[in-house]
Order: sequence, then structure tokens, then C-alpha cells
Amino acid sequence: MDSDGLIKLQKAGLLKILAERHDCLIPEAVYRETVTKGKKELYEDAFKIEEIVEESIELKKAKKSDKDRQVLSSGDPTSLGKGEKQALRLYFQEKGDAIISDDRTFLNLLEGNNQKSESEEVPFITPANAIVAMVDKGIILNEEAKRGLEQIKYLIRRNSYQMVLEKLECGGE
Amino acid sequence: MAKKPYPLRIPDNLLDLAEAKSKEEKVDRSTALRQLMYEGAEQYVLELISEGRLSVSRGAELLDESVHEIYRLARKRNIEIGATEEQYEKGRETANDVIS
Repeated sequence: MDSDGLIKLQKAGLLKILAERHDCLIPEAVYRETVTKGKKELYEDAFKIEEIVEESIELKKAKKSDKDRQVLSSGDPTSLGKGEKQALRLYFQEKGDAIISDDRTFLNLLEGNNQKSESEEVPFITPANAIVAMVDKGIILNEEAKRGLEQIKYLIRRNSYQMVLEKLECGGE
Repeated sequence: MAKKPYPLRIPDNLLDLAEAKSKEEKVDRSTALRQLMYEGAEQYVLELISEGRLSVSRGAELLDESVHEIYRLARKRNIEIGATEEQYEKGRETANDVIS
């Protein structure tokens, strides 16, 4: 998970539920960005994320590898911060299933990489994807999902919000 | 964040604006100028994030802010950030496979 995925799922009230059901990992830079710096500026979400990380999310040191270098070279690595770069490293290091992020630039880079046949694909999930999937799998109720979506309404694109809302109104996917 | 001196020619109208701001906000003119420059930088960074040219984390690093503050600023300035519809569509199948 990068900071973007972590914060939006927390704001939607779904981070704890997701983290309790899956092995969620974050690198040190993401912790610094969301918790350490957020707490200094007294953001309430930073304190809540800290609690959830302590209980259910594994904090890991991410090491550079040829695989993440190859993915970064498919785009402009200077457009990414330490959080996204370390999330990518951690994905390869721990052989993750997917990266959770809602960052357009980061996802652009992953999409660019995934289109190249010689590169190893890096699947991703947006927080909005996670909300809909959690309803589809019966993990949360439709009403909980709508409340969560409402909480991140101003942090995601209007079109994406509308699209997810319509899916939830239809009862999921 | 460390500050460095930099030679710069500033148009009279911007100096007048800085002067007005310094009186209004009871700060010196250099501080007012720096504030104006910083507000411009914030706007520029948020636009790059919105266009998918800069990540939230990198934007926060460049502005020496937290990622939480980036979201607050984007909302305040009504700038849309986040994944596109196409990216949402691409992530849907993975979410169905991975989340259980």
C-alpha cells in the first residue's frame, strides 16, 4: 500500500476491516508520510492509521531490486516520491498480490510497465475498487460502502465517485 | 527547509501586490513575496498531481508538506486528484481476485 491507498481507505472507514482479513504491508517511507508527519501536523487520520498499523498492518523495510528498477524505468521515476517507490520495492520483495493506490501518476507508471510484454506485471487496486469488491464478497454492507465512499468523495475524481456510486446503487458490480 | 539567496528581477506590479499583502497581513514585504510564490507553487504542484505528472508523495516532498495537507489543499482549491475511470476499470478485476 502507498500513502494514498492507506489514507483513503482509512477515511472510508474500511482500512481496519481490510487489514484484518489480508496481509497488508507498508514500507517505512509510507509510515513516515502518513503517521509521523501527519501526527506532527495533528491530522486525526494519522493517529487512527498508527493504531491500525500497530494492530494489523506489517511495517517493513523495502530493499531496491532489479525488478523495481525495471518498472521505474518504464516511466519518469522523478515524478514519484519515496512512498510510492518503496511500496513498489516492497511489492517485489514480499511477492505481493497487488499494490493498493489511488495515485494517478503512480498508476500511470504501473500501467506503462504492464503494457510492456518483457516486464513483470504489477497489478493494482484503487480504494474505490476495494470498496466495491468488499460489497461483492459480502464483507461489508452496501450502506457501509456508500458511507465510506461519501467520506472520500472529495479525494477521488467526480467521475470515479459517480461510477462507483452507480455500481453500489445496483447492488455491487 | 533550507533557504538560498537567488537573484531575481521582480515586476513593479508584483512588488505593489506584495506591499499590499504585507500591510494587510502585517508581515514584511519579503515574507509577503515568499508567501505569494509559495501559493503559486502549491497551485502548480496540485495541477501536476491532478494531471498525473507528479505523485502525491512527490508533491508533498516538493512542498515540504504532509500528504494529508496535499488532500486538504486539493479540496480547498477544488482540484480533482486520484485515479482515472480507466484506472478504476483496470483495478476492478484484481480487486475481485485478491479481496476475499
